[in-house]
Amino acid sequence: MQRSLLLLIVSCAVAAPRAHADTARVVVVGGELRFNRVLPAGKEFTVELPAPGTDEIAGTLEIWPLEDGADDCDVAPPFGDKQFHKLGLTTSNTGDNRVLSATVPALQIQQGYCLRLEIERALREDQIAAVAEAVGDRAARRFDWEHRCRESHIEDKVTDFVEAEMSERLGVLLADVPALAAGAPAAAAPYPGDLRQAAQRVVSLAKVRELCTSVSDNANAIKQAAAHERAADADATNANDALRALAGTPTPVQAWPAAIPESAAPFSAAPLISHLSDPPATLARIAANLSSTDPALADAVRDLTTLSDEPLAAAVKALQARLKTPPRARPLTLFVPSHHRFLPAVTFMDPDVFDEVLRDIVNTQLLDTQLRLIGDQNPRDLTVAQRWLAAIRRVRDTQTEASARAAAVSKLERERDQLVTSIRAALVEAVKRESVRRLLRQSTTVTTPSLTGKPGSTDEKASWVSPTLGVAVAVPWVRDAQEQGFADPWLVPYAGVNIYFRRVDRVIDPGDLVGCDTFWQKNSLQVGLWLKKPRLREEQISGMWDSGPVPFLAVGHRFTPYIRVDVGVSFYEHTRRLPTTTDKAFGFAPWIGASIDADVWAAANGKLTGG
Amino acid sequence: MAGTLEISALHVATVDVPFDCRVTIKGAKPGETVQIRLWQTAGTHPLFDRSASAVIRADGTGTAHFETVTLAGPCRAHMFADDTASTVPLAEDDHYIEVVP
Repeated sequence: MQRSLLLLIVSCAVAAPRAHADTARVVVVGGELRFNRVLPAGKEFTVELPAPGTDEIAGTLEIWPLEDGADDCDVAPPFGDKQFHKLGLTTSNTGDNRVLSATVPALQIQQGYCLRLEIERALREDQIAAVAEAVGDRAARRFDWEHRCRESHIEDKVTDFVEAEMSERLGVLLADVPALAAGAPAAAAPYPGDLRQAAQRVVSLAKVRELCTSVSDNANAIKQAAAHERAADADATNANDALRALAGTPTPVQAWPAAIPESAAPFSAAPLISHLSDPPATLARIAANLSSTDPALADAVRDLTTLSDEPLAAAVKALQARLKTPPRARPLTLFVPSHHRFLPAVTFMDPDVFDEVLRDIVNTQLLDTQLRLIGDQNPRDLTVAQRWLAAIRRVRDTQTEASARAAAVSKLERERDQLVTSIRAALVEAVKRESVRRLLRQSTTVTTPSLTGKPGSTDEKASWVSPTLGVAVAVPWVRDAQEQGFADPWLVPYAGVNIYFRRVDRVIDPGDLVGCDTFWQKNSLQVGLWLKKPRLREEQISGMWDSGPVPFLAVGHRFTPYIRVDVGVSFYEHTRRLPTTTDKAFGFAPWIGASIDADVWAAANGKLTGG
Repeated sequence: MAGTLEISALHVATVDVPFDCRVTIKGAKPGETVQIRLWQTAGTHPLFDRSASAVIRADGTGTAHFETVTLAGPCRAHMFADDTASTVPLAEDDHYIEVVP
């Protein structure tokens, strides 16, 4: 009997080949997680995910059993906490060989599992730069700083703006996860809480409030300066109009024209009477300039160049006497530098002349000097001279003021553009700061299986038969000529074979088993032999037909992976009290016992404890 | 030689919020009053179109003021400035304004 039992135990031990290595590598292909092997059941194993790179990376792995017949892992784990594991991923190796790994506790045999991988990685330098440039560009090109800086809570509004741009940019960047996906990941999104914080920090670091104050101040200054420019332009226009009106009014004067001794700019004006003793060349130039307004006077001056000594002195004296007497009244003429000659003042309103006169008025003092000389010669012409001087001065002053105001506005507008450029630069630099970069992470979530995928499933390496050894309390039923009923109970050791109708998971606690066949994992048929033949009426009982050991048939329930309670019945023969045709009688004994489910195969394959 | 026009305005404006715009004139005939037209060629309707006059100063410069310019949007408005009356031809100028909500 013992030899038979030993053979049974050995045969159960030869149930399957030895288990594989305890590492499973997972890759992401087309947004699906794919394992490189069937997952080992009944023992913990390491999941590895290739994650080449040098950036910061971290992640979690969730694993839970899939319901029989289900193919959607996006719903909540159907069995609650049963066999639900959330594990942190650790990094090992570096560079191209870097992997993320987690040690998964023992899983149930023949069971599909859902996996969810959540990876967080910091952005690369070039990605940070792209986000920074995008934020800066958008702020410069799509935010109305001039108006919005006057609004209340501007920092919050700029934060909203920055957060929106970061979210959009990160959404684009998150599609690029080369280490994890050959195609688009199943889901990718930045962490909203961290993004808001990152945007707030960017706005704070960029000193947006101060910059906005500068923009508002600049806008107010531009508004003011533009108003001043408009007023100055209006004044200049009025001055121009006044000069035109003056020029249109005939103004006869009794004054000799000024001497203009130069033949080219810069010209100067002086009383003619003071130049009569100049060298002949100077006198010739003066005469040439005078010829357009007073040809006779020009000839008189030119004649001086041909005389010398006494004739010259006499001619000078005569001309001086002539110049001391005011001439007859004639229209006002003034030497206009741009025309290199004297022009009647009434021609100043001519559009072809006015622009050059205007330029001369603003840029030279020549007309002023000539007008003062006219006033000096004849007090009656002083009023005319002063009127003209005032008009000319007003044109000059208003023109200068208008140009200055325009320049001031242009300067402020350049400052405004520079401020917007500064804001852009400040935002770009702020995004690149380490404290912001730490908050900008990309996360990728991949859940498998999908509708088209197969679940990660565990192997079937387990035994469906196992030897058992236990102790039972049996109550024998005796049926004899004079006796029928239950006799005193026996305490009987027994050994047998458990026959399960499924492969049995020895590692997962029976209470944590999931799936449709958990019943068959816990309950089995049992056949075996009692290891002892108790005595009845001082005689040992025996097996049926005097066969030796007492056989039994039982059913049992596993309460723990290896402890069972069995309920069975044994059949035996016992000696009759009063032998008649035969001295043996048939009996049976129901019993209840506890046994150890000695899964030798599980022990041989390291699946006793799941480690 | 032709003169030039230069539009000075915001690069970003808010829909229906008025702003001021200036067209700076250079190289024009001093003392002349020129007419400058500022109009929008692309963007959301109704498109902006207005004229303003500018008196040219002695240095040939002037400024045409366009106050309370409002643009519809959001869009990328394309603004043009050109002279409709000036003795010296003035080269036109364009300017893009991003009109945001």
